Amino acid sequence: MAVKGKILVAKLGLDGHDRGAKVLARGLMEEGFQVIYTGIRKTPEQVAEAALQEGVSAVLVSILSGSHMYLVPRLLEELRKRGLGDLPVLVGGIIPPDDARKLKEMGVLEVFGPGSFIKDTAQFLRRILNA
Amino acid sequence: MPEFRSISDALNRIEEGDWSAIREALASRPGAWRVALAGPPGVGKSTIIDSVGSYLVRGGHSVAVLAIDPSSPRSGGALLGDRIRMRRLEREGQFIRSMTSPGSRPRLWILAYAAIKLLASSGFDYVFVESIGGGQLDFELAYFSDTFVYVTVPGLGDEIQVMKAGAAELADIIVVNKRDVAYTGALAELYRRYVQERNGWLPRVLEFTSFCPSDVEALTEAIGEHRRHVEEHPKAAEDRRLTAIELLALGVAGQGLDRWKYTALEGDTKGLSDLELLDDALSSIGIKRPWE
Repeated sequence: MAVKGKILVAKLGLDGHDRGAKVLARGLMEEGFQVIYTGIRKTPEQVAEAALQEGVSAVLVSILSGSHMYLVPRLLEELRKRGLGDLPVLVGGIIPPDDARKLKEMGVLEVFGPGSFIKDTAQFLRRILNA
Repeated sequence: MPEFRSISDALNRIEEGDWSAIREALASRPGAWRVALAGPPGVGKSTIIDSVGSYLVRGGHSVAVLAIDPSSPRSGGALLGDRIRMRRLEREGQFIRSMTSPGSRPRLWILAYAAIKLLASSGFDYVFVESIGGGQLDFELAYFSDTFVYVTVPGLGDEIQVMKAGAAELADIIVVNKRDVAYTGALAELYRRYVQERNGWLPRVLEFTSFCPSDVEALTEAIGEHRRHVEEHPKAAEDRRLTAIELLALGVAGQGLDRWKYTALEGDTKGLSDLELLDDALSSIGIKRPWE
């Protein structure tokens, strides 16, 4: 059981560009979510561990560095190792459509690219979390 | 090191307001030493927890952190950013939990107290609690902890601010932080002038920066010194605990009142006086009116 409406916004790997993650974190706070932001340059282990300790009901990963096909599968694996395989994982950032399809096949619930509206992300979260 | 999954699950239930989980936490006996930090936003509370906490970890102790951040009065949401400052504790695999409480402050008291109790009885050596960042109004944690640290920085006002009532009066240790970037001597001297001995303990005033290892050592030592003092004066500790229970009783009442407002809003309350409304609120939770 996770805390309803409590979500994790995470930056994975050597990616210091977190304007998008910050805008999203603030926007989702304004939409009524309890948002925990991990800060930049986290490993998949650290993000999965934060998800476990914080009791979040979803993990939102922002990646602009191009290393999503390396890092996201590792995050999914670390979550599974902790018994959090069912936790919804959403990915945002610069993700080519082919990769987005592959990530969804691996277990990512949705991929949000540039131009996404926070209201839509919030609505999506409310729908999957029943919040 | 305690098992994190079950601790986290229990905290989830407490955060959701599950009374059976809160009840269980309240019935437990704390084994950890509970250190709470209060003070205005941005004075360095999270960073101090990271530096002192990781110093304790290097000494062979285990540490848990409960970091409380405010919730938005507009949306009820929250941005919990204390974890970002606790990079060393994160790397060293310690337990960090962020928490907020939509709703009333009394409701937060009971949830926070239960969460602190749960962590303190889960096998950690130290539990650090970071307050909401409300400055001088942020005094409740003094009663929810064993050692209460008030953190401030120069530049927030003059002697009158130091003299004012509030959280600093209850501090066991006052930290004048950021001595790496500001002159902390004058403010520390002011605090030394106004601190008063309580139950044989004169609050320590430390000039501090988390970047200086000897400062971190001195603060850890001051916490240890205070701990030894408390253990020799159990009566003062019990006084503190009973004040916490008073606040919790208020919190339990506040819990009922949260729901009362939404029920009342559904009806037409325009014609009712404040007294009539307060009357209705109190009777909804079975509290006798003090004026009858």
